[in-house]
Amino acid sequence: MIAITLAELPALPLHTAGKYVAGAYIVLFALVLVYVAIMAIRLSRIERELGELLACAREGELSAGPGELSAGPSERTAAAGGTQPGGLGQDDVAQPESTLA
Amino acid sequence: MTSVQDLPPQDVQRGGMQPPAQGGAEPPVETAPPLRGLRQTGFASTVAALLRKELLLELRTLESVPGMSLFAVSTFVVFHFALNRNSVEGDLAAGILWVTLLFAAMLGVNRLFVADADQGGFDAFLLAPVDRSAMFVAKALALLAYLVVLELVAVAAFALLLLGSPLGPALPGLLVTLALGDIGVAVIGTLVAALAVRTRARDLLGPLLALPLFVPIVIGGARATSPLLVASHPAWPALRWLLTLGLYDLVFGLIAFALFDFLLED
Amino acid sequence: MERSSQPKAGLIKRGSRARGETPAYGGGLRTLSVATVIAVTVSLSLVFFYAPLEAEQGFLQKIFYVHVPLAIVALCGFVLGGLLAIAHLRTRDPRWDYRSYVVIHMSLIFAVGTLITGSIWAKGSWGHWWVWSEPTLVSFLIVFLLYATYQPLRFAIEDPERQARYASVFAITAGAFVPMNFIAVRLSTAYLHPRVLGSTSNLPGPMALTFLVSLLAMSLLFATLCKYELTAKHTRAQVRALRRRLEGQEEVRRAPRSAAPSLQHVTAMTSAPAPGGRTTGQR
Repeated sequence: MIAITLAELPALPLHTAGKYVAGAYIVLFALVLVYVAIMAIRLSRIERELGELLACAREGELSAGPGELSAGPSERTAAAGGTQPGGLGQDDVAQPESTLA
Repeated sequence: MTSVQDLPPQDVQRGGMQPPAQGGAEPPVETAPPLRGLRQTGFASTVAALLRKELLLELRTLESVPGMSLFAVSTFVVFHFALNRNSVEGDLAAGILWVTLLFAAMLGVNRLFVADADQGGFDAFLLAPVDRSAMFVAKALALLAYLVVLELVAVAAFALLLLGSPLGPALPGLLVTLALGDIGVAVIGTLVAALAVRTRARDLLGPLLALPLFVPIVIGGARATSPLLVASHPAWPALRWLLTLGLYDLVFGLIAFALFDFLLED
Repeated sequence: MERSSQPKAGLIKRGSRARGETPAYGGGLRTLSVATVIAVTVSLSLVFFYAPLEAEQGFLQKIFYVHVPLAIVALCGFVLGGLLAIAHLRTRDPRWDYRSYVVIHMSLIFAVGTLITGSIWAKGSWGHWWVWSEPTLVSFLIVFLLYATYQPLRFAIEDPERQARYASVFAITAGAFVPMNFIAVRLSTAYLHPRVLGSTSNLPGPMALTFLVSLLAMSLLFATLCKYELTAKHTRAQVRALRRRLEGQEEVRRAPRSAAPSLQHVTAMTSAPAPGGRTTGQR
């Protein structure tokens, strides 16, 4: 039965048709994966920003007190914000992780 | 430039004098002069006033219609050289005619709201105690008028320059199809013009937005017209295309009328 | 040092969502994505192991199970974008415009997928990368050209509220255009060629089942990706708002003009206590 059906195929021989079908499904897969990649980049950016903000918040607490939030953190992030987050020290990166635990 | 408020008062208040059949839902009321401008004017009278302003402007400045007509004739010449033909018939003739009309209409659409946007006409209109959708109806009717004049010139030029078959017998069917297509172009053109005029790239966005929306009109129009433009032809275009055009006009007329208000508030 | 049990004073409000300040979009995301994974796996298995080979087109016909669901979901997405835009114009709530934007964006990507898979199918069946005789493909080209102007339109308007309003008007017009366009194009091609590629009527049982499962899987994929996008953008806006609160208004880099909705409702709500709360939500 299948042999008869296969013998009747007019559009393309099976081995060639397989390439087109695979191509179509790969297109779909690729679109979804590209989207995943874009999301991954965004997620890492958000994580970095949150890390900076947490460091900044801790700065604000360690300095004079809750009333003087504006001066210390804005200077600190003005220096660190222009450069990339690699500017944050190792212990700064480690501490947010412990608070998120 | 004349705005609504510059027009003589009796034009703006004409709705109060008209019989109810024309003046919307308002009973005919004698308007005493001190009450002018304080009550809501009828929809039809607003449309009439705005339309009169548009047509007066166009007659005085002649900025849209002659340009559109000239563009159409030039395009026919370009088609002659581009296609390397002395005469066309059938599908080719219908295609050339509709494409030329569409692009010439885009010229008019681009200019439709420019004066209002640049010279404060929108603000003046928003201050008047009138139904805002009246501007949509007035502008669409004005564009329709421009298109009718355009087609008088363009169809005549087309018959003269490029059309291989006799125009006379095909004329009634052609006119009906053109009329239905014109309504669609006017409705969509006005909506798109209002959308595009207060953006940064208004001359680019207008055609970009309008062309896909025009495609069903081209489909209906060209398919209806092409059997007419051959030497031996049926007397009337196929009903299916006329119905398609009519349905499209109706649906988008209603939608554009409902949405236009949201474009004006600022 | 162990600090997790103590909330920072005045900074991280644990109860803020309970007070209903800002919406959370990621609520059902986990369930939805699990459902999507299951549905996609099942549908792929059905396509390749269960659905019979079609008599005319053979193995090539399997593209049908990815092309047509893509098409249907994209079209429904466009119409849904129009409905969400109607909600926006009625309620003036910017969250509806935000949802409308994301849905239209995602539908546009699905439409591109439809065009590519349809083109591959056309090449396999007819030998050409494009055929005018297939009304679905032609309608999709027109719809794609129309919605491709959505982003430039938004980008060309700077005021966020006006941008949202004009975009909603466009989305409603275009959403109404989609079915009319399909009718018009189908009318124009009906008498030239019989439909070759995409006939969905008269499917035999196993094929119909496979098709329905594929359609379900594609719809779930669409919903998951939309929710994902909504959540991601919203999170980004929340982080920005938090930064604004912690560091003061001046520290946030003034974002360039953007086509995406500015999510002012997020930044406005969370930056309200800051002095001189300036809500210029340029993204």
